[in-house]
Amino acid sequence: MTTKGVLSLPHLMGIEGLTRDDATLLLDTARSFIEVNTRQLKKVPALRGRLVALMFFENSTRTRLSFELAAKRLSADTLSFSSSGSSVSKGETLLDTAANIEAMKPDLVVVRHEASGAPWMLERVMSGAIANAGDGNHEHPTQALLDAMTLLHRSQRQPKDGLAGKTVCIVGDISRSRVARSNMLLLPLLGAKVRVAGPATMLPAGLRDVYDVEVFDDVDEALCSGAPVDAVMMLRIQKERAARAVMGSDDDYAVGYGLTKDRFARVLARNDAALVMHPGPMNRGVEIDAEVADSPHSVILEQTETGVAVRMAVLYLLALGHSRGVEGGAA
Amino acid sequence: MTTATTKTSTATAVTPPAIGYCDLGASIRFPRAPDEESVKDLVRAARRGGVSTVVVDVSGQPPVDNARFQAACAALQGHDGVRVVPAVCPVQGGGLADVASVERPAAWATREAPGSSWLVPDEVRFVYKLPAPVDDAVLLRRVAETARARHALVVAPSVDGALAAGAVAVEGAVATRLGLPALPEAAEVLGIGRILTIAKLTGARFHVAGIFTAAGAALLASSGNDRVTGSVFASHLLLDETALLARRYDTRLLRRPPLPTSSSRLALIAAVKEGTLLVSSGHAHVPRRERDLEPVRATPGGTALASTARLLRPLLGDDVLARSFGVLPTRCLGDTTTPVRPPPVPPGLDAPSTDDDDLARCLQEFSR
Repeated sequence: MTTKGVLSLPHLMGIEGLTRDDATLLLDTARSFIEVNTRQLKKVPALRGRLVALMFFENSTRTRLSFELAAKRLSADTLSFSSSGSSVSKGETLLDTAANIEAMKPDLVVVRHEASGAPWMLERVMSGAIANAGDGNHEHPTQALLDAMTLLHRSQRQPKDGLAGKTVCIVGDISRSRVARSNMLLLPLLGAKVRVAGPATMLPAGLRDVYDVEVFDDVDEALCSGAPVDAVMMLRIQKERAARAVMGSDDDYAVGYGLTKDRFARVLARNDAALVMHPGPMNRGVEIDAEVADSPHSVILEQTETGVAVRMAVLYLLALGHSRGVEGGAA
Repeated sequence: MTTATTKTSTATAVTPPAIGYCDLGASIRFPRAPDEESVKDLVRAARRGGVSTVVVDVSGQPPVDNARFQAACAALQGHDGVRVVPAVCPVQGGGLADVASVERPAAWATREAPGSSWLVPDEVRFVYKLPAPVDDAVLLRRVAETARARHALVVAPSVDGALAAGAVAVEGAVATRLGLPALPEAAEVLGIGRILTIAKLTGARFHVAGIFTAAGAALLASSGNDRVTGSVFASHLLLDETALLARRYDTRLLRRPPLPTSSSRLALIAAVKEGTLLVSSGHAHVPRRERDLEPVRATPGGTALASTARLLRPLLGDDVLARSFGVLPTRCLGDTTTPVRPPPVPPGLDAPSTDDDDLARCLQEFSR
């Protein structure tokens, strides 16, 4: 249960575990920061004197920049650590690295890692509140929150109203997508119907047992049957996956599962207000046609813009909970 | 180990003393780093756990037929009360190893070295251990044919290597929820099917180690080939994949093969009670530097040899434990004469035997 203005959890490890109240609080807070980001002076003193450690063990541009900007707009001090590849390749374990950062006493820790579960490892040695910025194939909670915020904003709805009545279709490599996993938890929590579609090689076993979603291996059926789709969320296809034979060629994928101009036209024929989303970076011509990505229906840049406000909300609320925990001796 | 001898008019009859538990599933690394387990540590753990026979793979890491391998074999002997059987790795890279060269020190260590006080009976003179699945049927056939000719027991992993590569969970709801690399249960059916087929073709003796699915256990039981036996690791009888949800990304729960589904675990327990599956420890010491890694990169661990019997006793009872972890594995090694009398084991989970007794500690935490 969320007490007034505070998250029910000390960390944001994933969407799993969040209550509807938590999600509403995060999105409500993000709305207020969207307003801050439109001011001429885009800075508030909410986290003055707080230290935010940005620990990126995996290559990232937009998420890292977005968190960094979020921290700065909240007036926090930042400590950036970037390292691609395994920590052990440098002769140091993940926990060794974390213990060193912990010695600098960060209040908040933002972590991105290519291994699922890395934030849980850090929780064992770090006392600050942890925000998961993407762990392996597991979760990317802030991406899901910014996706939901974008949908709410476009629907002119308040967070408390949720996304009831909306249908979102997620298309791509569901098996290896942390973005999909977080969205498959958050969107139904907010009342939306979710469909997922992809080649059979990209749909993990047990999907229906875990998530409240409809599953399709035919993207046209997913997009053009049943209730009209309000948003199509295309996932990035990681070309290196092709080497492991989970897909044929880029062309195969584009023809079978890409959001082509023709395919999107069929979506628009059923709902002319349908939106196009993508977490980025995009492979134009593979999972999405350039004309679709750049069309007026695309909210891809809006997602990026909203991301800063969402991450400000996450940092702010985690810091608030952390302070109360410290004061109450429960940090 | 002491033996009683009786002089008769025609020969010297040796009456071997009763032995305790027999483990076909322990691993030790050669050459070892300073923080890795030594033979002395392994033997100490075996003694503490009432285990008097341990099969240990010594030729997986160093190249064959060199001084280190011979030294490793020699180091396995001379431990009073514990028989340490050096297992030979018959494959090197993608081909058959120079098997004769690795058999020589192994044979010497088990039969002739000072301190070795037991004989490998003719039926099983060597143990060949495959550290990883051999998916290449041609190579597996050559291993089996060689094993048959040399009176060797082949201890092989249960899974298809390609399907199992990198997996730390079984495909399904748990792996999907946690975003963990997973293998289908069919990987074991494929792996065991290949072994059964090659065993039938060649007449070789196989022991399939680390069976973790109901389908795999059923396939083995229905094969009707008594020259192929199978065992399940202690951890897979004690925990199932739901433990991964209860203690998220706890590297102590990483196992190779991964922890079974709930229904497979129950089927494995039933198979052990019916006597169609044996039990082994899966003992593998994992240094801290390999455990404190990212969850999907950490080295999978095993059940400490010292705790295996103690942890399994409440689940299986004394009689089943004695049969599945004593009599049947001893017979697998071709020893059909030595009486097996496993010692009593202390009950309870309150005191993990060693610092790296991860499974015992996890079970202790679960029971709170």
